[in-house]
Amino acid sequence: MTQMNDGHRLFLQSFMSRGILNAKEVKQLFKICCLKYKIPHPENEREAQAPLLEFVRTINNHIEPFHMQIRKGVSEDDGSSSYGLVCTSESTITKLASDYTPSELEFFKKLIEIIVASDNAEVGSTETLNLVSRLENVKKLSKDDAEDLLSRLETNKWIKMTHGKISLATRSLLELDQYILEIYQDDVEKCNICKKLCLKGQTCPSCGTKLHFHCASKLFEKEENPKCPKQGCKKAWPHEIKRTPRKEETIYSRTPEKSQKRKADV
Amino acid sequence: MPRTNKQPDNDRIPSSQVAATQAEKAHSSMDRGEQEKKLHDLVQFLLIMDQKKLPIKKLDINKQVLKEHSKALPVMMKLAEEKLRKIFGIELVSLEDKQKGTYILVNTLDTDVDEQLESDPNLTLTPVDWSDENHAKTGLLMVVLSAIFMNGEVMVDSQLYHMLRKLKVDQDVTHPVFGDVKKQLTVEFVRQGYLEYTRQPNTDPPVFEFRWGFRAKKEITKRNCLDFVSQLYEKNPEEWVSQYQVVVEEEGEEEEGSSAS
Repeated sequence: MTQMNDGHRLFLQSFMSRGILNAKEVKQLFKICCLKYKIPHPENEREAQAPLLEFVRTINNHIEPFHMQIRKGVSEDDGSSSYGLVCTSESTITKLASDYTPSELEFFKKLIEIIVASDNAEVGSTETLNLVSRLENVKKLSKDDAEDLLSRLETNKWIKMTHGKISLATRSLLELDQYILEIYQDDVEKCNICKKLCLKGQTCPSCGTKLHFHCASKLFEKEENPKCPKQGCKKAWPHEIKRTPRKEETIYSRTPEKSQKRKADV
Repeated sequence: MPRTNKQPDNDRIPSSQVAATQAEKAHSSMDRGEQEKKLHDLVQFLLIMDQKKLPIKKLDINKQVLKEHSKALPVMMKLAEEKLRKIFGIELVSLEDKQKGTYILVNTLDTDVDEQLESDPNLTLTPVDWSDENHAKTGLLMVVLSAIFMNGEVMVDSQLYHMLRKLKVDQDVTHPVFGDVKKQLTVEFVRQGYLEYTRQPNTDPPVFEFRWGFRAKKEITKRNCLDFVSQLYEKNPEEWVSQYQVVVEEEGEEEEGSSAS
């Protein structure tokens, strides 16, 4: 097993601090760790992909006994990738880990419940704040407390709040997919293509097969007449396919806002 | 521990040795699987408890992790220390004096972005993410620690508050960022181990003294502080003769320490 060096350790500490990083941030972090500890790092972004995976694999090998793993997750909204540090067990010890009080955790569990029950895996803020009345066996939370909690959950990237709607962010899906699949087995579906938990997606009106937006996009990329992928169904797929153009993500793209910001810093 | 019969002094086995061999026995009495599991639980426990920034007590380690195997603590702590250093880049520090029997974790890595990287506009990520509140508190702490150091490593409370007031941080006024400043200094920072707050004996009304706490001593070097102050005043560190002397002494001790081990 490859030994860890300070580059690996800084990378790991960054994940322990931030919880989740998107693909672009991960590439930057890898470069920073390599430069700082004089680890060879290819200039070309595409060539850096394999060393990065190897780097993460080494770390994962060492942290696996501690029930920790760095895993890749995909956003259900736009198909973008992120990497998160997840806990792979729920032992008494990790229960101590929480930045959140037992009441707050209970609230979050109830939030998951209503999200799972909702149409598009999103719920309104009023409905959410009313959850305070449904907390049992824990210290009560006021609506103000709940609002503060929601704000912190958003800052720490567990939930997304857009246009008054609250949904689970990639970090929650990464960390809690097993939990959700287990507790809500009959109420949730897996995506037919990637076989992962699918909260937000498109459903075949005929047989109920569900697909992530991004999985559907990929599947039907070149299809004129998209059809349900389920054997025994194959009915026409009625939903609009988000044909997202493949973005060539380079870490060297200079955006005008960025260069202006640097000028302001100096 | 069974009571031993009184033995003449020159025959007595030091109790630390007795404990060490007892620990080894206790450790080897566990089967391999259990040894591994307890070790991993212990490392997780230390990481999690340190998040609260309080020293971790041996008592809690035994109660929550080792339980029936608490005799094996010395061996397990050594193994945990190694794991923390090799995998996480974190040092396990055993505290002495008043806090004997407790541990804190200190980072061995410098998580700042190097100057050469700072100039690269594409590398805007800071590895470790701090909240604004944390940044502000650290700023306040740095100012306080530097002031205490420059003052000869101890500062009377009225002096410190006077200095802070000049920086518009008033202990009688709720600060927009720090809130109750006095509480931040005398309770929060003390609890976390950054400051020591002791009462001067025989003073009425009571006079208190601030010193560096055990965590400050481990996390921040005196050289850092002197450099910080030197930058503020645009002077050379050597111009503060007695403080520079202290810095050099501290670095000399460190060198001795590392060459001895």
